[in-house]
Amino acid sequence: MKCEREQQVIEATRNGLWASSLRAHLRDCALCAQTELIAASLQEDAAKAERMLDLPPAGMIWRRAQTRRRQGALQRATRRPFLIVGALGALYSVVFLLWGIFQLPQSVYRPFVTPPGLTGGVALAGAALSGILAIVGSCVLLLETKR
Amino acid sequence: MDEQTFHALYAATAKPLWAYIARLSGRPDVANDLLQETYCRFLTAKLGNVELAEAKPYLFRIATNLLNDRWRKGEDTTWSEPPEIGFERDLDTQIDVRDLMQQLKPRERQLLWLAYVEGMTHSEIARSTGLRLMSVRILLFRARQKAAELLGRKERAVHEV
Repeated sequence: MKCEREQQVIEATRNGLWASSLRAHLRDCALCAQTELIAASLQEDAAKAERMLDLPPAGMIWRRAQTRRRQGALQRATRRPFLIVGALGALYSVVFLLWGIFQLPQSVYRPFVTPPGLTGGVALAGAALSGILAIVGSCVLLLETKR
Repeated sequence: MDEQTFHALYAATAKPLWAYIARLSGRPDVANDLLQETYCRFLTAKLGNVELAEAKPYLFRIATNLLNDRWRKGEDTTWSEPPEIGFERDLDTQIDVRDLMQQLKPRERQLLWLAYVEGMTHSEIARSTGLRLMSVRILLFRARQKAAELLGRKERAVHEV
């Protein structure tokens, strides 16, 4: 159930401008009378609440939002380098672990792996590769931080 | 949006928005916090230049979502504004509205406020609350029946006295 003039009644209650035809309608329409009762009560309450409130200054909210925006931008900027460094770190750990295993006496790791012709050169190459990866990771982090 | 535009927007919308949050949550302290949070979220969202007419429903939408989050966590589900804040107890209308708010569910308070204080149409309420248009119509109708009954009962009691 809805009266077509309900929105007009709400508007009139809001701005206080009542057309005579709307006043007449209000006397005949129970729905609109109900609307007027609710709207007037709530609007009066809202007006009183608005008069009493002490709003925080707009400038303070503006500055807070700016700070949050900068923090958000910084977080987004640092997320990628951290991901890259994390991936490189994981790779480094794997290489380091393998290198460490191959440094153990053959009697220890032989039951688990059978290396195809492991030499000291391979172990050295592994260590060198992990060092390079660490340096590359640091460079990426530095470049992204500067940006 | 530049700072001057924001100041103008804030001057035009902060009071009704505060009243909305305060009367829905029943907590003026919560209203202060949520008001600031609403504008911060509005400013940090990448909206470009928005007109006042577009900004207002959007602000109410953010505030509504923040209130819904609180209600989902079980906060402010019962309307509990302390007597000394916001109301003058000697005014009949305010006592009526206070009682009315206490007896309505959060969603009912929300819909009635948007419709009867902010003068929003059903589609604007749907945009501000995230409800479907048909749901707004049905829920608002029920809320309005309940509110009219409660206010009418008060009026009759006053006349009888």
